[in-house]
This record gives sequence, C-alpha cells and structure tokens, in this order.
Amino acid sequence: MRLTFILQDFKKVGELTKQYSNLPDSYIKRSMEQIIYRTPDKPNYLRRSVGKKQIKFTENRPWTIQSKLENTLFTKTPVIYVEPIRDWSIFKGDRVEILVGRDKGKQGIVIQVIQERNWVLVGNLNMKITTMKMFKRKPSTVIREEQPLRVTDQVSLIDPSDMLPCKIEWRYTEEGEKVRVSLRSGRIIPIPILAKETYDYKTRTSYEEKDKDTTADVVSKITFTPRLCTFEMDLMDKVGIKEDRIPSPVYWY
Amino acid sequence: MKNFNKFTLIWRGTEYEKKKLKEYPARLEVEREHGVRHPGYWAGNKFVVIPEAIPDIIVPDLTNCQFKPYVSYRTPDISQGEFTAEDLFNEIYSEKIENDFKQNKLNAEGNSLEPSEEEKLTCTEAFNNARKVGSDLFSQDRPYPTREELLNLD
Repeated sequence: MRLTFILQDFKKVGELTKQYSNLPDSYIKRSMEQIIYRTPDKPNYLRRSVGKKQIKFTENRPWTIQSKLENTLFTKTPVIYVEPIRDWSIFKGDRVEILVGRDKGKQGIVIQVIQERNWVLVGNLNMKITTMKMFKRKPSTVIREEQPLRVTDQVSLIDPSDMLPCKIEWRYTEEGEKVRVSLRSGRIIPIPILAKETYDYKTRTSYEEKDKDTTADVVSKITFTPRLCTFEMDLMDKVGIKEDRIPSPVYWY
Repeated sequence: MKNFNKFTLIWRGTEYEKKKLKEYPARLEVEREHGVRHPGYWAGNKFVVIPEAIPDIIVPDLTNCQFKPYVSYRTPDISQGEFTAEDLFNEIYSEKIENDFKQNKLNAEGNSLEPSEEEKLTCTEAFNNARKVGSDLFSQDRPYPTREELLNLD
C-alpha cells in the first residue's frame, strides 16, 4: 500500500457530505457496501466477507439509489488519485470565479461540494448540454447539467472588498475563532449560512418540530437534583424499601 | 460467486459431556433447547432454582412522560460538566456554613453549634448507610423456594 493512499483516505466519505446527510456513519457505511456473504459472529470463524466494499464517488451521494446503480457488483472501480487537502476552504454558498473552460472569468455560487473528489458544482455555470432523443413520437428535449470543477486549480474564492479572485489563508482571531482571510486585502471572508444546510433543514432555528420530536424546552431542562446518598439508596427511598440491618465489618490483610 | 464457508457446525459436545448426558436423561430434554438460559443449576439429575436468576422486569408508568422517540434539531448544544465531590459539598453544606458564619454560630474549630442532620453524620455511619443496601442477600434464614413452587406462583 502506498503512502498517498493513507493520506487521502480514499475509502472514506467526506465530512461535509456526512454533515449534509444528517445520517449516522454506520448507515452510510452499510448502504455503500454490497456484501454477498459474511462469516457468522462466532469464535470459531475469522472475520471475512465476500462482496464489494468500495464505490466510485461521483456527483450522486453515496447512500442514494443512483450511486448503487452506478456501482453494481460486477462493475470495476477504477483507482482515482485525489490530491489530499488539509484545510478545506470552499463551502456551499460561496461566491466563486471559474478559471478554466467556456465560462472562464464568470462568477457564480457553489451549489454542491463533493469532498471525496475535490470537486465543486457552480450554479448555472460550466454546463453540459445533452439532447434526449425522440422516443415513441414524443418531442426530443434538451437537458443542461452542471459539470464538476476541481477545487485546487479550476476555481478560486472571491474577495468581498473588490469582488476579484484571491488566495486565502486560515487564521485565528483574538477570540480564538478560525476564519478565512484573503491575502491581498486582509479582509475576513465569512462562511455562508448555506454551508450548514442539511437534508432535513435549512437552518436549525427554522426547523419545524414534528409530532415525534421532543421539544427543545424539554430536552434542555436539567432535572437532576443532587442528594447525599448512593444510587442504590436513592432507589430504595423511591420504591419504599426499608432496611435496618448492617452487615458485619470486613477486614482485608 | 461460490462460497464453501457457509456450512455451520453445531456444537455436539465432547465425549465427556455426551457421557454425562447419558447418565442423567432428565437433563437431555432441557439441554437440547439451544440458547435457553434456565434460572438455576443442575445438581446431578435435579434442577436447583436460584430465585435471583429469574428475571423480574419492572416497567415504569409512562402516562405523563414528555419524552418522544426523537430529539428536535432546534435544541442548542448542551455541555454539562462532570459532577464532582466538590460540587456535591457545595450543593449540600456550603449555604448552611455561610449562614452560620454570618450569624457567629461557629466554633473555634469551625464546626457549627447547631448542626443539621447531615452535619451530624460521622464517617462510619455514612459508610454503614451505604452498606445497608442489599444486606438481605446473604442472610441464611431466607428459605429458597423449589421450582414447582415458583411455577405455581404466577
């Protein structure tokens, strides 16, 4: 195994995609792998499994049906080399300028971040046009889709002071917050609200509580009152058991 | 894809265990129910019931419970620190000591002249209070019921 493979964590789902999904890690892992047979969980067996565990990451989220159709059991997964990035700096909702291709020099807003491939989708820019052919005498249609752009060299963040592309650096403020700062003007580029959007809600405060949700007031209430007794003594008081006998002392030598 | 790992083997026991089963045929019927835990142990051909081994499930009354299966996303991130012995001391004793100090009810040693019940507790008394719990477990007078008695109790 190569060192670069360990560095880039190519088997793992990106943290930003996990954050968007609001799903537990175990569910994402289970939905990704297609296993035919697994040895039973008993001491006389080794832990082995037969099947496919790794998928090819694309624009489709790894737990969806679309990604399952792309990665059937008998498709080969190519080895894709991705440049490891230490601090991810482009988030959903950021204004961004495209540096390559047909839409070079245009500015747009990031719709989706695909961290596994170092990709970003910019809204209504860098589109691919395809015509769906006529089928059973229905008219043919034209479909436009955003194509992914690499974060490292095909896209750059924009300095809000002069609306021009800039290089950025992560720095700390005096209060200890981690912020993005543009190197040209030294202005802080704030992280947009859209970056915290998930599948279930836009923002936390705008979420509507459903019937099966415990409300925020009930959850945040602290009902613990300290008492001068052990856990067992507290239980005995509440159930109503009374005990006067004291066991004889025990000595250890 | 073919797998030849799928054949599971049932544990049929060693030769020593097979011999014992032949000696005590009453065990045979019970031992064949794989995965069943019986409340007790076998003394030869007899089954001895231990009443503590019988599961006793206590279900609480949940009529006015406000909790529901999920937690809403609106809840802020709550971080509650560890509850230490110092916190417990502050919660129970500190107010009374402060009041006593303001009203000059403290000794030269620092003990209060009108101690509360919690202040009267000595070290051994407090330790014995905790040891009282479950002291009936190992008493010899307690009669052990037989299996038939327990089954007829419902």
